[in-house]
Amino acid sequence: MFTNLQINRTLAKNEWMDRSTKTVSESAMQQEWEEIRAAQGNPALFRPLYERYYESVFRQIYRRTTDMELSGDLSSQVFLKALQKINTYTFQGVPFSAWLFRIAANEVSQHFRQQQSNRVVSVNDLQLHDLIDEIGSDPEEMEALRRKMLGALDNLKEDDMQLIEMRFFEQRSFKEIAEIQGITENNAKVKVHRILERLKRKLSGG
Amino acid sequence: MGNNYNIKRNVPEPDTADINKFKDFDALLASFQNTESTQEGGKIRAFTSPREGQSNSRVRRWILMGSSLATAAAVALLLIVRSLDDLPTPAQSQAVADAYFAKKPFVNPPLTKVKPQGKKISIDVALGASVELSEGTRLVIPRTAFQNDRGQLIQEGEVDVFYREMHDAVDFFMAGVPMTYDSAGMRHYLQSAGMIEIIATQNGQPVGMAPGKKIRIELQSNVVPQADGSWPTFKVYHLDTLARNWEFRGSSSMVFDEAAQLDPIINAEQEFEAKKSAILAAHPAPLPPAKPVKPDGKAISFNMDLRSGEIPVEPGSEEAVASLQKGSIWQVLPNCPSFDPALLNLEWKSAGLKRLSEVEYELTLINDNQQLRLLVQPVIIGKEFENALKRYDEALARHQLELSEWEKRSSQKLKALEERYKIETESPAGESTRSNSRKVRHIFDINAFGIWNCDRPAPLASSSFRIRTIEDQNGNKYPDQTAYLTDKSGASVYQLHTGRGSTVYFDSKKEYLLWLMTPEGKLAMVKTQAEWADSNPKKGVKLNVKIFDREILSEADLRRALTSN
Repeated sequence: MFTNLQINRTLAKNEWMDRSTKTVSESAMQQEWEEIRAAQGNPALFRPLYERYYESVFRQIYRRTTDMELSGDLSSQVFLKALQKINTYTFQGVPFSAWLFRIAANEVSQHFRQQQSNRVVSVNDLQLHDLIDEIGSDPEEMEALRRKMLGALDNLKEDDMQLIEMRFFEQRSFKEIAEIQGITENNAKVKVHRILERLKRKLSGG
Repeated sequence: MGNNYNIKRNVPEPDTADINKFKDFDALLASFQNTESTQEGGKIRAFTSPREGQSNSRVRRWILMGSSLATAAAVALLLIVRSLDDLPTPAQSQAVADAYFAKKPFVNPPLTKVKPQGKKISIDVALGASVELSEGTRLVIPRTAFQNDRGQLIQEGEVDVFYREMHDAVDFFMAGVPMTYDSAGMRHYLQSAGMIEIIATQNGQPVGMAPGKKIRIELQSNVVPQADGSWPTFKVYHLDTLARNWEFRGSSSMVFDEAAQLDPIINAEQEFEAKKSAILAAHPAPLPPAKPVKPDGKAISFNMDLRSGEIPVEPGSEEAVASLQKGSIWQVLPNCPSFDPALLNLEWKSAGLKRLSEVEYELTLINDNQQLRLLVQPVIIGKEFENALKRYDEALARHQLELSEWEKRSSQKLKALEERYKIETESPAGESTRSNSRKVRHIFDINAFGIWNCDRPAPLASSSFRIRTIEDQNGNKYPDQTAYLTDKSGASVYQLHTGRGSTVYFDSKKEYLLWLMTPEGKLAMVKTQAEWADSNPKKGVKLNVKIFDREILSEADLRRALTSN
């Protein structure tokens, strides 16, 4: 019962994406490319793309702001930018959503830079458990480990934090992370592995 | 901390409906066209629409309402009239539900007349044990793993370990175990791959686990792959009844049972037969009393009175000796292996006796040099035969009563097993499980007794409706009790309050069963209704439950009721 994880809740209404992997099939990407080309000719035809991805973009922004009004504003800004730049978009063999998520990440970072405040990172305890599990843990000291882990996370560089955030807190596949970051899947795996090793050393060093 | 980020823990996710309030493609398009025409890319706000310029649609609605006092009054009146019929706010309903559950025991088995069955395993404390159970599960208990209630290590003697497993919605429901997990204000539902309850006693007194000791659990269950073909992973939680929550205790490792990759139907049938045999072996039928027989005069017979203590009997023979009638002697059966009758004249130091059937006994005579194993039958000689016949008639009457009790108990267990097997092999839900599932062992260590759950937490389902009222076919309403909801997977049972406005979360792509127990001990239930998916949150949904017209007296009754229709 209740099998849909939070991240999948977005996708439940979005048959475009595979529910389990949150990636887009080759044929769906081709079909989507036709929609993009149509929108490049007529901005009003951007609507299906907007309808399809609005909620997932909003959720990504919300997790990094935890403010509904701000998330609404930044989401509008993301889609406005996408619409303004759609004529420069070329098919790279990755889903359109990856491009939107990248714009969204930049918008959020830009907002916090302008506000000169620290960016929000939303951490769910269950996902934190996954992260702690991944690097090995003694469950009897879970609360102490959680505190240590949060301290270690707070010292990550922005790029590293984004990778951990996407992999563990947004539960994205390596393939999807690679598409958003514009790197190879193997590279994404190696990068995440190295960050985990660093976190592990920090945790064991107290 | 480095204070580079503002890390927030367990922030609730917004609802789709709340997000959709910000979605407005027409406004986006208008902003795009404006920025294109003015060649400047300014920021836009959500909710801004080309028809309203910079004004907010909600503000405009208020202005329109204020334009006419009479209109406003009429609207206000309409709102008041409507509000009488509206449900309480979700927050009010939740507060009522929270207060209701706070008063209830945290573990609250709903069926008073049906007691879940467990197993008793006696362990020699000094040796520990590795125990294979009929469910396919293995328990590895180390030496001196227990302490008494004064914290003293128990170093010798026997400890009784009571163990039971719960695998599906019926088991979870009967156990009354809440399947929710609250983490810093966020509620998750536990989808279980299997749950166990384990406690131990010594001489009837509860004992705990000794510090530093762990019992290895290898819990067997079936798992189904996820949509992408990958296998799910499971975490381990211990039920903290004081904190009224599950406590995360790490992850289990999952080992596939490679030997169990036969045809799923054959697999299920073999499992059924094995479990049936295990039930019958654990609760053997009582043997009838032996009918007195006179010696036939041809077979070898000899006198050895085990009842009088003339010869000591070996441990384990007591029950067989007690079944012997006064005045009986032994007659060697034709199927007894041949032996030298002169051996019967030797001096024997002790004897072992085992009852093999109604009339057949195995008698083992033992001295320092040898053992003589005989298949024999007790026979009665002389006047004692008539008395023995009378005693036999009385014993037979007692036996018939015992037998009918045994049949009742065993048939309940077998019926429950048959119902479960039927669901696994014949129901549509079983079909999908059968075709994909693999038998696995979830391996984890426990360091305390109580209830342990091997599961995956999942957030609330994406769709919901609110209960307006629950009513059965006789017009009875159920406004203040616990209802239970499960989907066909049966991996969890969601407990909810039946009060006005209670929210029921569900996945619109799944079929559900919602039920409650009536005060008369009957089960009232309803399957997924079409209105669930498209209900007005202020009006809610009336749930028309149907009563299963038989009292639930056993697990088999319960399974039959829940799979009826």
